Parts: sequence; C-alpha cells; structure tokens
Amino acid sequence: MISQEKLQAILQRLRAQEGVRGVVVTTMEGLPLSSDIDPDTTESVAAIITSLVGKAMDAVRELKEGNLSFLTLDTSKGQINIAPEPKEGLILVVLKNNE
Amino acid sequence: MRKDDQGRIHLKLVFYGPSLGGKTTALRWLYGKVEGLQKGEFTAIEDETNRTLFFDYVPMSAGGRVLFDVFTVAGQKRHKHQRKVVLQGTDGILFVADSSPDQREENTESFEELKMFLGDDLGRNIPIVVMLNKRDLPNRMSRDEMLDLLGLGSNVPIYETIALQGVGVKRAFQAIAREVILKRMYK
Amino acid sequence: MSEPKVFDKILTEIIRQDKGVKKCILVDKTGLTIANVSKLSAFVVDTDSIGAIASAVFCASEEQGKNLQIGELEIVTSEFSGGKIFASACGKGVLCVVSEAEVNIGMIRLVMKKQGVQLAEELDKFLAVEPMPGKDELDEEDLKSALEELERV
Ligand SMILES: Nc1nc2c(ncn2[C@@H]2O[C@H](COP(=O)(O)OP(=O)(O)OP(=O)(O)O)[C@@H](O)[C@H]2O)c(=O)[nH]1
Ligand SMILES: [Mg+2]
Repeated sequence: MISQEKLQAILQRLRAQEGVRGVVVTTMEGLPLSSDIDPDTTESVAAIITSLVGKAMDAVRELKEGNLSFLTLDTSKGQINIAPEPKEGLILVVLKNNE
Repeated sequence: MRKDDQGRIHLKLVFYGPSLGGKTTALRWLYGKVEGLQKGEFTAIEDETNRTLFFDYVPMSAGGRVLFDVFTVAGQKRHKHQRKVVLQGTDGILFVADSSPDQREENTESFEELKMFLGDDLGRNIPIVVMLNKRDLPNRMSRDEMLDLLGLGSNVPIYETIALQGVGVKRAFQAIAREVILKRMYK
Repeated sequence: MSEPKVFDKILTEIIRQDKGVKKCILVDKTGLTIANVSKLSAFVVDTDSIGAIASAVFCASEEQGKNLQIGELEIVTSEFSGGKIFASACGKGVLCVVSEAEVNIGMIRLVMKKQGVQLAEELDKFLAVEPMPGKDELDEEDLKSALEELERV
C-alpha cells in the first residue's frame, strides 16, 4: 500500500494547481480517506463517484478494452478527474473549476 | 398494539423474572408442545450454557389476524439494559417467579425492577399474569409466602406451574393473552 | 394512516441503489417488522426474527450510547466474512439493509440517510393510530375472534 507521506505529497501537489476546487481520496468501498472540502459533499463525492467507477469498470471489462485507467467528466462548472487505483483499493477525485 | 403492513394486529408479550426461573423453558414448551398455536421460528440469543443473553423470540397466533410477538428477557442482573430494550412497547407481562427458597431475593429484586421500568402502567395499561414456577421442588416456598414476597393481592392472576413438564404453562399464556386482548377491546 | 405500499416503494428504491444490496427491512423499536423487500436471488430467511434482532441490536447500541453520553446513534454496521448489515435510525423505527461483503459502503450510508428521512415521516404517519370510520369495529372483530380461538388452543 502507498505510504501516507507519498500520498500526502501527491495531494499537496494537486491542491496547489490552479483551478483545483477540491481533492478527495476514497476507498473502493466508497468511504472517504482524505478530503479538503466540506464533509457532506465529501460523503456524496465518495459514494457516487465510487459507484460510477464500478459501473465504468464493468463497461470496460464487458467491452474487453483492458483496464479502466482514468475518467473525466466535463461539466458546466468545470471538470471532475477520476483516477481509480484498484491495486491500492483507492480512487482519486479532483474537482476543477472552469478555466 | 402495533400493526404490520398487512393490517394484522401485533401484541407483544414478555416473560420477565429472575435468571434460571424458567422463562426460556416455559416458552420452549409452548413452542414445542402446544399444537393449537401457529408459530414462526424460535430465535434465541443465549450463551453456551443456554442462559439468555438478550432475548428469546417467537411469533405466535391462535389463528386469525391477531399475532402475539412473545419475548423472554435475560434474567441475569448484568443484563438490565437489555431487559429495558426488550420491554419497549410491551402489551403484557408474564412474570415467572422461582419457587426455590434460595431465590427469594432474586424474585423480589426482579419484580421491583419491573415495577421501576413500567411504573404505573404495570397492572393498569399493561396487564400482568404471574407464574409461580418449579412447583415440583420438594422444598418449594408456599404460595402465600411467594405472594407475600412479591406483594401481590387478589387482583393479579396467579398460576402454579412446572415449566419443565409444561404444567400450567398453557393456561398462564392463555390468561395473559386474554387480558391483553380485553384491555384493547375495552380500553 | 399512510398507504403501506409507500414503504415498499422506498425500500425498493434503496435496494436498487447498489447491486450488492440484498434485503431491506423496516422495523419499529418494539421489534416488529413493518415492511421488507428482497432481491429475488436473496436467501430465504425468517424476516420476522431478522427484524426483531436488528431492532434489539440497534436499541442496545443506542442504550450504550446513552450510558456513555456520546450523543445520538446514527448507524450500526456489522461486517461479516460473507456480508454486511447496516442499521440506521429512522424516526420511531430502524432501517436495516443486508448486503454482500463487497459493497459501496459510502453509497449505502448515503442512501440510507437520504431515504431514511422520508421513511421516518411515513413511519410516523403509519404509527400514529388515527381513528378511521369503520376501522375500529374491524379491529374489534379481529380481537374477538382471536379471543375465541385462544380458548380452543
Ligand atoms: N425443577 C424444575 N426446574 C425447572 C423448571 N423450569 C425450569 N427449570 C430449570 O431451570 C433452569 C433454568 O431455566 P431457564 O428456562 O433457562 O431459565 P430462564 O428464566 O430463561 O433464565 P435466564 O435466561 O438466565 O433469564 C433449567 O435448568 C431448567 O431445566 C421447573 O418447573 N421445575
Ligand atoms: Mg432464558
């Protein structure tokens, strides 16, 4: 499993980027591990993104397209970047504002 | 009194009393031996010596749209909080007193605790029937001695029972079920 | 009194949220199962006793919380090697969800919290015994016949 220090360093770097509104790390069980946004939103992000990742993984598997490595949702508010790390049992979620 | 989503009436009956008094034995006898009652599954949460840890539970019915959800409490002193939980929403009490002379204090303590939990409702809104159990013991306390011990007058139905053999158990159960129904009809 | 079907509707909504959810049960705090919904494939079990235990376990934890003065109980999670049980506060009742072991816990918690609010409202309506014309007589009929059956036992 990834060390806390390494994880924190990655999060620091992400948060420092321009336009980043929030960074959430959740387990594959939909439980948030780390977040810099309010608790209610964090809970929703963790639960709903985990569910989405599960479905996306199913779709990729069904289509025999290998493994899911990244998901991007373009929204009117900006972008949601989702990086599943099945080996770590984690999902990294980055919420960004429109440029 | 409660209703389920099919509109059936549920009445909750609770066997109360000191540990090892025979509550579980009496309920098991009703469950295994009384054919006129329709029964669901018997659920028991107990330790490996068969002492109740939390409760026993069986849904029973004499037919029709009225069901009795019958529970026993865990009688050991340390399970006081579990007893409080099991008592929630009870419609009637079957108090099982132990006729062994060495259980005098346990009987009174348990009865006092019950009065404390239910307050004025006991005997008024919540009918009670008392079983003097283990009447087969050669050194049993006399009936009068036990009624004195519990401070019971003539207003509470008393049944002398031997739960191990089922003696008096069915009648005691019918009595509390009847009291509870009558309480609902003429409240 | 509210339409019992409304419980089934909400419970079905919960069961649909995650494919790992197998069973949803609504119980009151006296141990009575008020409504339940299962996936077709789910094991056949005695729902009444599941409900009675779920209610008792939740209420026992609640009692524990009171003794320790740590506030209101929101959710109890029991994890088994082959599945999970969630029980959450729901007004005068307890909402119980049974799932597989591998499941989106966050989603289940979220859905239980959300639907729990609506379920609690419906439950309050359901448990508030409003006298309805003709209903009391019906109950009395039921009670009377139970009384007769009882003598025959
Ligand atoms: N002699 C005699 N023994 C009895 C009678 N009824 C029960 N017992 C015995 O008393 C013991 C305890 O009975 P239980 O029914 O387990 O007692 P309980 O009231 O459920 O006890 P807790 O679960 O600890 O509250 C058992 O060994 C029974 O066999 C009876 O009528 N006569
Ligand atoms: Mg027992």
